[in-house]
Amino acid sequence: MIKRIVNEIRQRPPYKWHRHIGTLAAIFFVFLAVTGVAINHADALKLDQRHLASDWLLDWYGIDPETDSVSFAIVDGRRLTGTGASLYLDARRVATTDDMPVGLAEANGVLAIATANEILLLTPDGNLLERSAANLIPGPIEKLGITAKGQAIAKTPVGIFLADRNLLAWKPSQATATWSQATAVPAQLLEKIGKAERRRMLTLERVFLDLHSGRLFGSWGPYFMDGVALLLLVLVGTGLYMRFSKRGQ
Amino acid sequence: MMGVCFFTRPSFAIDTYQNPENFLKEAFPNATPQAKILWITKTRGEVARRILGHNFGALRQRYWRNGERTVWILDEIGKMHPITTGILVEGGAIKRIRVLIYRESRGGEVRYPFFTEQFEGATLTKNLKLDRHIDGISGATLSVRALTHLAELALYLHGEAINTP
Repeated sequence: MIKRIVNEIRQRPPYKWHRHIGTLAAIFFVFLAVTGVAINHADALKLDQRHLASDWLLDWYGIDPETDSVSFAIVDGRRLTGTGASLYLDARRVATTDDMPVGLAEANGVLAIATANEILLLTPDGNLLERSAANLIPGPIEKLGITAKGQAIAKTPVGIFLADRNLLAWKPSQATATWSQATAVPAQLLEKIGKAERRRMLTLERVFLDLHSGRLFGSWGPYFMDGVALLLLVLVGTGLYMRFSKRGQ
Repeated sequence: MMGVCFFTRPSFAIDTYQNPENFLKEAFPNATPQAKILWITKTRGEVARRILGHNFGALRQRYWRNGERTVWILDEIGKMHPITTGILVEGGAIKRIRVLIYRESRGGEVRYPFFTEQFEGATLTKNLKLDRHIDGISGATLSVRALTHLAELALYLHGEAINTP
């Protein structure tokens, strides 16, 4: 049996092998070429800014809806909630954050929400007014609140700092404050923003990279792509053989 | 299902090379002036969009000014995370630019003086570009681009701030 196969390989002209392998591998070469060119130009094509919302693909990647959150109630009944890498005003995503919020203050018609590293100022309708590095206040922010006069106030390990009217400068203060308290998000809202956040976690660039390497198809995917690469080498060999040998011609 | 672990919270290291407060103290050795606000009007927003290639993203920008000297602390995404940069502008030219906080995993070479010194003296052309070529760094293309855009933006905002009564 093996002898017969070996004889067949020996006897079959190289152009036949070239043709068969080329046909078999063509679809994968097209696939590798398309994904390769896309990855090479990922920045220009903004692949890292395009998010895929397909539920089955997110399931395939094992990306679950976000459930970890910190939420603060606003006086008018709405909520500012930090989850994943985003901040939501009710169910609307209003900003990216680098950490979970630690406090909220409503002062002079502005919503100020702090993480340890920065303070985000939002208009009442949720537009980002400004984000500023919390380094302008000494120490990581632990709490945010308001004074009896309605001024925003922040607590860090270094001390307590009172904001000016425009929330631009924070000065050391001894004022007493009502600190904001995180409260539980209603389950329905949490489910909604959890799903919205989930749909921001997978970029087209990630998928193209995993398609190109074969990793999208599981742990055997890269080996399969290795096989496709080997087929390309065989094609190079048979192509050169046909070009330079009498038998090939 | 793929055996891939996704972090729900950004999992980057935050490298603080210089505290923004210290950058301000260096820029204004006598006393740091009070912060001012430049409102990002529709026109300013459109110009900022041309420079950055995306929306400015906020309605106002704080800055510090003493005479012809202004300081801007600006963020721009390199690859995935914002690079916080301090830019001192005087007389319409960049006097100093420093990477203050770097969050990307690659490309941190943009913080070194051999790179940032290229910006010193740079002004803005009518096409909203720097008046000089900034040499790139292999492996830090996106961070180089981010800093170049921030330099252009700071020069534009400086002009707006100086001309604002």
